[in-house]
Amino acid sequence: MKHRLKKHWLLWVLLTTSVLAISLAGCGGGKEGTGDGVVRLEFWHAMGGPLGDALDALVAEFNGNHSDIEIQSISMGRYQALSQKIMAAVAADQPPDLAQVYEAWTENLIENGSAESMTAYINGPNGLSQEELDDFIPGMIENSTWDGEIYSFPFNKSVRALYWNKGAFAEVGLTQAPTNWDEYLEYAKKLTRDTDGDGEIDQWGTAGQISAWMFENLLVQNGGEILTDDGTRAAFDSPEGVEALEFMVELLTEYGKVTSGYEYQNDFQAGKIGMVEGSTVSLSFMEGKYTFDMALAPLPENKEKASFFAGTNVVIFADSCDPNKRAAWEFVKWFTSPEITARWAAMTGYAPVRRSAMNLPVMQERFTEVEGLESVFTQLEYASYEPRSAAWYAGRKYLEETGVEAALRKQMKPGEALAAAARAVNAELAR
Amino acid sequence: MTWLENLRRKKFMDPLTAALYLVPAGIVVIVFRMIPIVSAFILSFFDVKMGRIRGFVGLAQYVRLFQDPTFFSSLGTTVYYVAGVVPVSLFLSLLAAVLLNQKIRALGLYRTVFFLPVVTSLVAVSMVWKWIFHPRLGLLNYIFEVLGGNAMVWLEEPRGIFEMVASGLGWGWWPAGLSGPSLALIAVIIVAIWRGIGYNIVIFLAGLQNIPNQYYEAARIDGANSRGVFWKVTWPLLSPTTFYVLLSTTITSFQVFTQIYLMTGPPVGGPMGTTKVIVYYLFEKGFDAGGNMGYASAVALILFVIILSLTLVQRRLVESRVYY
Repeated sequence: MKHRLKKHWLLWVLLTTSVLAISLAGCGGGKEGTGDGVVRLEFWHAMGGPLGDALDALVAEFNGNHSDIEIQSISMGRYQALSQKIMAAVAADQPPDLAQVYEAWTENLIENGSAESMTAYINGPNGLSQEELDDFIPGMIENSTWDGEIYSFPFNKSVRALYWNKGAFAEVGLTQAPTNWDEYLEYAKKLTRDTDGDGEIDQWGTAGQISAWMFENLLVQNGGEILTDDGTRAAFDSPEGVEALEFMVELLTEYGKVTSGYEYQNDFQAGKIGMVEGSTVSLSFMEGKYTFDMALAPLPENKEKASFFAGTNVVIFADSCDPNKRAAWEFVKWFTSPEITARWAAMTGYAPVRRSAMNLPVMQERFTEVEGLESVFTQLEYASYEPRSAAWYAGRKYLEETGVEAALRKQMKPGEALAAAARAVNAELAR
Repeated sequence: MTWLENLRRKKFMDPLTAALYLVPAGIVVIVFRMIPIVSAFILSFFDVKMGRIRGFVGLAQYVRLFQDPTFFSSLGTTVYYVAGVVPVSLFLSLLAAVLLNQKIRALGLYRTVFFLPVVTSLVAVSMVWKWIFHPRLGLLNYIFEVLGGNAMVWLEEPRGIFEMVASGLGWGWWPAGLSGPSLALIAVIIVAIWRGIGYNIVIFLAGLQNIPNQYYEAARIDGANSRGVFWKVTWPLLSPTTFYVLLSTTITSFQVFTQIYLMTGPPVGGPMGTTKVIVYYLFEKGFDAGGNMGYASAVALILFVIILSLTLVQRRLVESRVYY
């Protein structure tokens, strides 16, 4: 009996130490080279559906072209799940080698010492020339730079676009998408109508969801700012902001419908809505689901030519082994090369991150397939990015829930709603 | 000495053996309950961002917490939820249990029907009810319209129900602070009651069957009617069960998360944050990437203190009326 107990003891000790040994071995989440000279690394992302398929296809192609690197593309399904997995992985000292991240997460990762600076790789032997860096969409590299160091790289970035139903437009004598706010309202009004004469409106001019992103674009188009220049206080409650929200409320509640989540896109595909705003990525979800003649257009303009891009960047984790980091950079460099970013953009609707990509055959071909896409991407020339701090990440929720939602649901006047949201955001920024 | 006696004396009475039997459950409780509770308590004094402990901040998280209006509004929402779920669930499950305790036909079928929601996945239940409540395509609005009523937007309605009733009665004005829980929250409450009732019925049924028949017979012989029998015999003798059901339903209601996470929004907790309960607030603050696990731990601790003190108060107030 005693003998057996001893044996069990030994087994436990062995088990525990071996578990510890496994968890301490190597650096980062990726498996170490197994002696065959192949660097295996883990890439965590949140791409699903058509986007996930496109990414997996490109990763497979990269692996095929690189006999010494094997990227394991792991989808976490959605951004919230991705952030939780990264959080847990960092806490357990088992981060992946490469991951998609939002700017606010990047800031936290930098402060934790978990994000590897890419500046050395960019300036290194397998780096990028100044000419190549200048080829990136203006603002995208800046968006990835903190205190002069580039910590992330643009990966999947999108801009807003106006999707319009050409048939529905033609029925009311319109041949073009609206180009300014006045036309936007006027066209939406014309498109809102009772098509079968039963006394009920069955086609709405436009539709949308409760979205801070839509408001932010209207705000900067109207000459407003999200935060003050030093980023310490809300600035969206300015007269420009109130005017922008009043416009949004009029557009979406008088001549449109506010739906829960992405339902408005289904209604648009069913031909019940004249035009809708959406991300360029929505294209990949809509493709093949509508039967009418559809075209894209840049957002109708107002005082300023301005726009915010959305989407994530990628970071390399500092805890990974050097060969893994080098291989991860090789993938990032390959993925953002003009040829590949053009193909990624053509497959998904994300914006190409390189200007020269626009002129490549694959992109030109896509532009002839999708009417108006080329002009939508011209917005990239003046597109900028939202405040990047973790405090704004939390504050943005107040803008959406307290500001935009309260106004769109007619619980508060736009001015009151923005003032209330600004108070909440200021409290968040002051912490 | 038979072998059975030997076993009883040597093995079962041996404290070491007893301890050994407790080890598996003990490990689970310690690893998944005790350690997390202690860690949460410790973490609430630290700044934790994106998986890394940044530094000791003392009571700063608690100070921040008590300055956040969203914390108080989510606490208020939770109180509405508990106040909506607990009494109705208790009343309906007791009523159903008393009815199911009779000798009626197809008793097994009824019991199964009531218990079915309990064994159904909460995720599936939430998704199905979300569709039932859908403003345009939902079954509920369809029924309302067939019956000549007005369609409502249910989960997308931020207005409080008292305010809605007041405006329905034609009153132009209603005090803003007294608008009550939003219709969206009421929709979630309905689902919670529907889903939880079966479990409570089973507990009540067990309690009812524990009441010895002699008492009923004695009461009948003394000429008591069925209402008298219920209030003088069933209700007092059932009180330990009722007390248990009250306590457990209150505690689980305070911890509601899944239905809120799956049924409301986007954004979750909407419309206008009127369904943002305390556990979802905690989740948002801790698990969103901009969040802080230290802050979330402080929220969790406050929730723990609230539930604990409420349980103690319930014991004080209610237990004196319980007949064991």
